[in-house]
Amino acid sequence: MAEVQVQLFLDRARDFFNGMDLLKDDLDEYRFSPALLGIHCAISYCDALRIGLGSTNVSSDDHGSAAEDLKRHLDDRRVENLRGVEHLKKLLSKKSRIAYAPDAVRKFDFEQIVTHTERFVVWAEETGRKLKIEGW
Amino acid sequence: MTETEIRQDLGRAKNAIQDYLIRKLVVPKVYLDANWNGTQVDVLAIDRAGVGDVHTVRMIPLDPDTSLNAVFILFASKLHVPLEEIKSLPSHYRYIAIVNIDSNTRRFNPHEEIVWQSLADDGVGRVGILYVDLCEDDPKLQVRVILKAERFRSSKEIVELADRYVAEHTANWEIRE
Repeated sequence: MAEVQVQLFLDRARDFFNGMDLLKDDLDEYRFSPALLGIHCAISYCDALRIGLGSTNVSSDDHGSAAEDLKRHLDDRRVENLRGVEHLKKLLSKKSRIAYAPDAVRKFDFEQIVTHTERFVVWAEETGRKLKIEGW
Repeated sequence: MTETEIRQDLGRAKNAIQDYLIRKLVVPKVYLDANWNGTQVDVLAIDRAGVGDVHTVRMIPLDPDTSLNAVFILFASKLHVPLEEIKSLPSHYRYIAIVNIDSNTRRFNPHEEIVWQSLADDGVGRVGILYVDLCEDDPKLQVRVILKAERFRSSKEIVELADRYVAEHTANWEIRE
């Protein structure tokens, strides 16, 4: 069952990533869309990792605790490279501002989101494979 | 064309194929002029940060003086050899890239026989054919899929080759953590 869920979250994560990838080349025209796709891509990768590492419920909207939950699992497995968790935290910290806040957002911030997403995805793919997560 | 001009055009074609694979794959590691299990491939891409499927591409430049009819002859004859070669490459996805540097050559479709020959013996896997048009200004439009690649069977050999290659070589293009 967990294996199937991992695959579903992974499919979603890679789908979001491909969407971001299509739009990121034109950040003058498209800004919020690739940024949100990137953030949701990271959330889905995080969910795939957490389910694969033993979490049973990843449906909460409290994404901050999701990053902590992921880190706890990684610590249990003695994973030394935790750079991905830092990228994830930075992405999650921007979610509300990008999605809901009536703030102006600079192009630089969108570029940062794309960069953090790409680096997080590299880390997540390597980590999922290294930990031999079923369904990865 | 001088040898330098041809070399430069082939280099541009490699870049165009690299860009195509970067767009198609998820954070791949891409290598140019790779020695893959003893065979030279022009572009090698390993999906998902180097832990996913392996894609190998061999280029075939068209002679600038080749007419459309001659292209068909090329497909039916000379292409046969690299097609068999690339079918034996240990990778999940295998491609031939026809490189056109002449603005007068129109798009073409592969001969039906080639479509058949592109298939693995057991049908699991088909060599893809890409068409690289260097006369196209927009880099995103330079590579077109003529025949869609289908995934070949995976094997322990492919996975081990990929792991070793990633560990021993520096990628030409990758996203770093």
